[in-house]
Amino acid sequence: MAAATGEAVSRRQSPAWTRLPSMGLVVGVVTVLLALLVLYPLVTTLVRVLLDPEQLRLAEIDSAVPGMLANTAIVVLFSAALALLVGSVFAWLNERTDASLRAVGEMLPLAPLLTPPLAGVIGLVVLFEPRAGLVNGWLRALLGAVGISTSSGPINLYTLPGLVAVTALYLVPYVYLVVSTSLRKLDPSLEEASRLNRAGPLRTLVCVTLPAIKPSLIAAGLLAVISALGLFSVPVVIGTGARVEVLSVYIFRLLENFPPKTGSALILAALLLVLVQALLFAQRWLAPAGRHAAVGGRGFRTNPVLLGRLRPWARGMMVLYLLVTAILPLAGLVFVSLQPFWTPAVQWDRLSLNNYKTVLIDTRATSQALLNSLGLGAATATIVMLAAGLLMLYVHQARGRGRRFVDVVTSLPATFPHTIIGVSVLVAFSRPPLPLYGTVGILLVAYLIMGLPYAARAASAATDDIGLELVEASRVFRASERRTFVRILLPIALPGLAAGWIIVFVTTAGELTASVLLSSTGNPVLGRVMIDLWAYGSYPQVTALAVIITALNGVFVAIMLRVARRTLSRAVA
Amino acid sequence: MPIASAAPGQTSPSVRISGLSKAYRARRGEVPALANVSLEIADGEILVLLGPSGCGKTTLLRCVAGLERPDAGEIKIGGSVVFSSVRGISVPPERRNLGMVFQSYALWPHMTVFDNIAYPLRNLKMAAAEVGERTRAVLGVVGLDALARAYPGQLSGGQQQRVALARAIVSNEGVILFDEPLSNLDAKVRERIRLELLALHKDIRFSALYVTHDQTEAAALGDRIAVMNAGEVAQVGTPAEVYHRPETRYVADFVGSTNELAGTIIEFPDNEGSCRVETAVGRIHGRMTPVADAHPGDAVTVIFRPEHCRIGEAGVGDARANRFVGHVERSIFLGSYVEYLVRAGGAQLVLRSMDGDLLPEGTELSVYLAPERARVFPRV
Repeated sequence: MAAATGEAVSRRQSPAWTRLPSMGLVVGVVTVLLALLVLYPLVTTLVRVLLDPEQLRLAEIDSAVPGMLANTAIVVLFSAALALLVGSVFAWLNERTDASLRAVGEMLPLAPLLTPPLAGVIGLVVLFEPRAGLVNGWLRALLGAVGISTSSGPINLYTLPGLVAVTALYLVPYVYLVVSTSLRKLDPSLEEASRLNRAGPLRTLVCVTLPAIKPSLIAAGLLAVISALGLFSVPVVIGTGARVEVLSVYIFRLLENFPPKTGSALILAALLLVLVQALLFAQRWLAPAGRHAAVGGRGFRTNPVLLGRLRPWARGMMVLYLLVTAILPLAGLVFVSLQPFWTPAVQWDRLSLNNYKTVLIDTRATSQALLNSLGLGAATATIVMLAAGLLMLYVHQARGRGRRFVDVVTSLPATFPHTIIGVSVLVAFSRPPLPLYGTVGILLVAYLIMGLPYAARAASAATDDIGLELVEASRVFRASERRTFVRILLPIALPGLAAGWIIVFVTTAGELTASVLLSSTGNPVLGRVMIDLWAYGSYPQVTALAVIITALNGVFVAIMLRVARRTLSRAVA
Repeated sequence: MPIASAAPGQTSPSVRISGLSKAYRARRGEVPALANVSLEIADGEILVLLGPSGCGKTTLLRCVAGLERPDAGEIKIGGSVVFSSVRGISVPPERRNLGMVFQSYALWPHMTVFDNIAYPLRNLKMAAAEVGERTRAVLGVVGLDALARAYPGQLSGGQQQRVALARAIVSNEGVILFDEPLSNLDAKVRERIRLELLALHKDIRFSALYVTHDQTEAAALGDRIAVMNAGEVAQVGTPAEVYHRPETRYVADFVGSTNELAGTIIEFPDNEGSCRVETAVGRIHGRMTPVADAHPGDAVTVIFRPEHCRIGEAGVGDARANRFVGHVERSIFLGSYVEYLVRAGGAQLVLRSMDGDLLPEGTELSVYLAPERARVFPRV
């Protein structure tokens, strides 16, 4: 009896453990491991910087830095402003007017997934490079026909405005996603009330719609600035061509050149980190989530604003955007990849698949890189989705206990630009106790850190929709906690988790920013190899690789859409 | 019918709740959800917990299910203690041998109707053949044989409700918890399912704890009703008792509509709860329970139900009944009855009449009210 009482007492004092015995332990261990994974590189790097001030000799910072920072500010601010304008206009056109195009609504948020960062930029360069750009070539032919002949142009992508424009192209999807979501949630009756009170469509837009979504606009603008700061693929190709250095690329060059200027790189990386954290703080402060009463739970289809004569123009603009960002670059890539060398002149008889044979079979560096990237993508996606799925489902089942800690750990890496993750992993894992430099291990670590937030977001989206009553019903009907997890939670969340796997796989396999810092001849990955081939001028092979990775992405994203839509239809039907 | 009778010799599957308390920790201190609640569900009885939202009825149900943990008290199900704060016992939900019908039905969307219903049996490690047999039997009882292979998402609300019900009764354990199961259905379907539920209860005689905020549902289904108020049980009794003899003003108010007249006690003509009260409409003879602390001269409220008043042409007498005179201010035709707003001696009363004819506004009438229908409560 005494023993029974003792057991009873201990039970009462630790209710969490009586309810969740071994699963709680597993979840605890996974959480700690993830926290270590996320924090170890960053903390090690910070400690090294602080303990070894020798590295921080300011003299190493050369005179190019102020100009580079000014360039960065110009590129970031102008491109973010442009993206905010274009993205918001697209969102409004699609959500609120009769110019709405379903394709834009579905494609835009997915654009960053569909075209791997480098492939898209290279595709644009292939079209608009001043001398050999395909579009430029054809335009010159047209101009020649009317008597004007030039040897380059007329469109020159390798300029500061070119860099700003292309950067903006890549920011538009982020803005669009934020603004269209808040427009969708905005109760249309607010706007209808304005119309009934005799305000025209324009006045309604300015006096009702815009103020109501102001927090989202601010959030979208800051998100665009943050993304622009971290963006690497666009400036490394176009900025290099235009001789405009920006921060993310400059840090890469400091570490890439011989001898590497690690000290300067760390200082600038710290600057980047501080900037981004400050912006994130501003975002939280200026646009706190859910403070606007105007934004309701779910929206309904409203009567669209009729644009009249403007409608074809509005549609044309959106179609043009899709053409320029997605379709034309891909066509350009395919076109160049089939030719022996990059030229705007079409040589139909010389088209062949030789470049594909070269990169896939003949060249060990590229085929190995492709294998490594796919393998690392699959490994990363599997590991982070298992971990994130376990944590999120568990937290959900335990009615939110521990939710905050899990959220902080899993979302923290999302606040680090990839350059920072690359630099800190490089510093932390180049020396003992964990000398991973030159192995695929160091890439895996960086990819895991970068993939974790995506995985966590997908997992929590997949689990949050599962009503708690479904879990409780399983318990009441005699299933233990573990059985409930396996029979109820996991199967219901599985499609969402699978979609998350694909997102992580796709972003990892095409990753560029951290890869260029961590990959070398011993552990080649796609991003690194493509940058090198580009620098050496092996354009047909770069385009072949770009086409391959884009095609793979397309297939996986199509699968994801299929999986996600099937879950949706089951929920709705 | 294989599920119709409980195995002989099974312990009586009743529920006994004693001294149950629970408070929720809020930002500012604790919010009491249950305060020293004691209740009993007899074998084969449907006990309805009735009260407005936030009165603690759902918390009580969830404590019985094991989905919430009370701070103090004891819960016994079918003779065995499943929770006791003193003895430090808290049996997890899966070992409490319950069935439950959730407000949202809580049907698992990835399982067919058959698999949903078979789930409790499979968790009991029952042989596949028996699982199939019992599941099909229950499907027959709720009339869903044809939909065994359908997914919950393909069913109507009423059908989903039947699946949830089938899942709750399939393992035939005797105690079933209902958490506002009909609140998501439209009125017609709700009435039909209510009748089906009663028929099913007549067949199987399960014991049930049934939570609702709908007094009609409570009256129709409950063998007894426990009216809850702010975490406490205000009154337990048969539907008729609770309706006709509410013990507190709160219960009177919550169960049905009421007229209220402020007044002062004049005298207690006997010692059995009779009470004369001076009000705006004149002197009213009513009943006061408990009479203990009341004295002549105390401020009281007289409460009576619109449908308990009889309306007569002025002049027709009734020796025992209270009688007051008023005139019709508005007549409202409501289909099965007519509602009158009557002005009597400065007070406005609501009366109901089941006769078809609509009295025109301004009509003088006499209102008769039997003394046992006029409940007198201390004014707070």
